[in-house]
Amino acid sequence: MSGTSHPVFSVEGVSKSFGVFNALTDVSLSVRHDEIRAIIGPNGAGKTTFVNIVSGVYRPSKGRVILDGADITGLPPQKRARLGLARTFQIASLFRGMTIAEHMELAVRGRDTDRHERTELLDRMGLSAFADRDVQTLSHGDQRILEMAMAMVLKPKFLLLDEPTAGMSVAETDRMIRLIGDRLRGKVGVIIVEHDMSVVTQTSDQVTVLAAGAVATSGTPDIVLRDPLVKELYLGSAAGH
Amino acid sequence: MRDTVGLIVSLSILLATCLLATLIGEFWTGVLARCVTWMFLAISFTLAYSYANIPSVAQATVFGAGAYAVIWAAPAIAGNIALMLLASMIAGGAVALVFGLLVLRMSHSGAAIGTIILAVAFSMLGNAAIGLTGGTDGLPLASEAFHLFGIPITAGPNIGMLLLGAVLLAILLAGFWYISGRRIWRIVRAVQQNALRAQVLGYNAVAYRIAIYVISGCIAGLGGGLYALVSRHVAIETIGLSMSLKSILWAAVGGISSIYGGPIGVLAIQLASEVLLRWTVRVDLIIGLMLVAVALWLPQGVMGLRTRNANWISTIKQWRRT
Ligand SMILES: Nc1ncnc2c1ncn2[C@@H]1O[C@H](COP(=O)(O)OP(=O)(O)OP(=O)(O)O)[C@@H](O)[C@H]1O
Ligand SMILES: [Mg+2]
Repeated sequence: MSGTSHPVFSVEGVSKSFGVFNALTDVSLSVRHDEIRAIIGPNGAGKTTFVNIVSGVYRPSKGRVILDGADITGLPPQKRARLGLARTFQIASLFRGMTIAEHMELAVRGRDTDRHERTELLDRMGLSAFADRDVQTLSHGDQRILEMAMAMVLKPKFLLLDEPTAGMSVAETDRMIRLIGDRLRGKVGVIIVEHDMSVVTQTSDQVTVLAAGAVATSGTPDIVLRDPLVKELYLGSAAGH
Repeated sequence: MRDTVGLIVSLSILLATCLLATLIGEFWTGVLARCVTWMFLAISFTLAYSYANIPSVAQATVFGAGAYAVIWAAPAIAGNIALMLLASMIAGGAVALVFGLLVLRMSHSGAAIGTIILAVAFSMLGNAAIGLTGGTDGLPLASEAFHLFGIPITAGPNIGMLLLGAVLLAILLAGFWYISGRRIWRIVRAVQQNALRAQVLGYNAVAYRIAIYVISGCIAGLGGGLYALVSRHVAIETIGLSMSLKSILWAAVGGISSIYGGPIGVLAIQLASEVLLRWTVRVDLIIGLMLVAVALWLPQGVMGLRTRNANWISTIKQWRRT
């Protein structure tokens, strides 16, 4: 770990088994309050399992999950959210028949957040023009952006982004990368689960590579992505370029 | 998202029911008065199914708790109808609370199966506890001088009880219309659509589901209480599984996703049954076939007809805008 500030989020020795199958084995990592850490790994490496443990969908078989110094291992998702842990979903999960504005209302949980600030957030994300439109009429990219806005509006301590660019066009991916760079980088602790290596190099300070449920290696993107082991794991796939 | 048209349609149906009852004979007034009590049951099923994600096959048991509460309470509270109906709502809500907590714990078998187990178990318990329930013979309502806030009311299948039920139902429907435009209802809808997503936004999905289910229980209980007053008699089969299934049919015909469909569903099926009974003994068969037809061609029930038209209208509007 670099830097002296304490991590805003960490997992310590987390394991998760489904029956006899170990999906995660003794995974430890931490994220500083101003750091973006990418988690990469081949299919079946345990990334989604990790996301589910962090957000409280699963309880780990072993190990602890720590948010801002507090043990949240046993807490349900809503309590984690109220403690400042926000997440987005790999598949945009918005509510049918509700507008962007209504989604933002849900996201702020009736708190008196600065309305001006909320409008500004939507403005910056290029969503304010459609604020009163049913989310089902939005493009896939705009839906993902809205997910981001919902996750960011209460200024969480820690953000978990599950493949934020999955299924996006090149232009939409660029927009997402810019958004992460402008609004998140250096401002809040983030974990991005990502398949696209170019997204990782453009957004992340640190990378952790998961393989077969364990941490294979971690470090800065330029070092990790050049690691022959990582190249081998991806075997000329996305890591190749 | 307030469905004003739905509210107006259901209130109109209710008004028409009351007007009709004043024109036709005593027998039909009684039929309609019972129908109004069942409308509460149909609405409570829709609420449980569409907003608590509990497809409850035990709603009649909850309805029955309200009915028996009135039977039991009547002698003690000297014909005070307001107190009796309060007791029936509390009984319905309490039973629903227990059911809801149990059902959400049976997550592996699914909510519907959980409620079937509860409905069967309680029906057997009710049969066994003859002293309390009267079993298949049932229990009569103690004859008291019934009054509502000082106004004397005769219990039984009469116009007074019909009007009382209709007024309470109108208040319920209008109240639902009001709530459905509030922020809290948006949360309920969010929980219902995607519980995990709502949890990640910080909402306790289970608590919301239980709360909605308890409210649906209060509504069913109130219907049961009115039913006991109209029928002046409650037996164990009025609260059994077959009655629960009937409530699902009413809701399905009216429109399973709209609270406002309940009254239409009850009237359509019950009036059709009553009329058919004069011609044939195979009423259940005919009703069954009607339901298959509804399931096939009108999956959203009568209320679904409207959204179908609305979709059509909005498509045209959009098309004209571009
Ligand atoms: N609920 C479960 N029950 C049993 N096995 C599971 C469960 N969830 C995941 N697994 C297994 O755990 C392993 C890791 O799965 P996971 O979905 O976490 O991988 P992933 O890294 O997200 O893969 P992908 O890149 O394909 O999304 C897989 O072999 C999967 O089959
Ligand atoms: Mg995955």
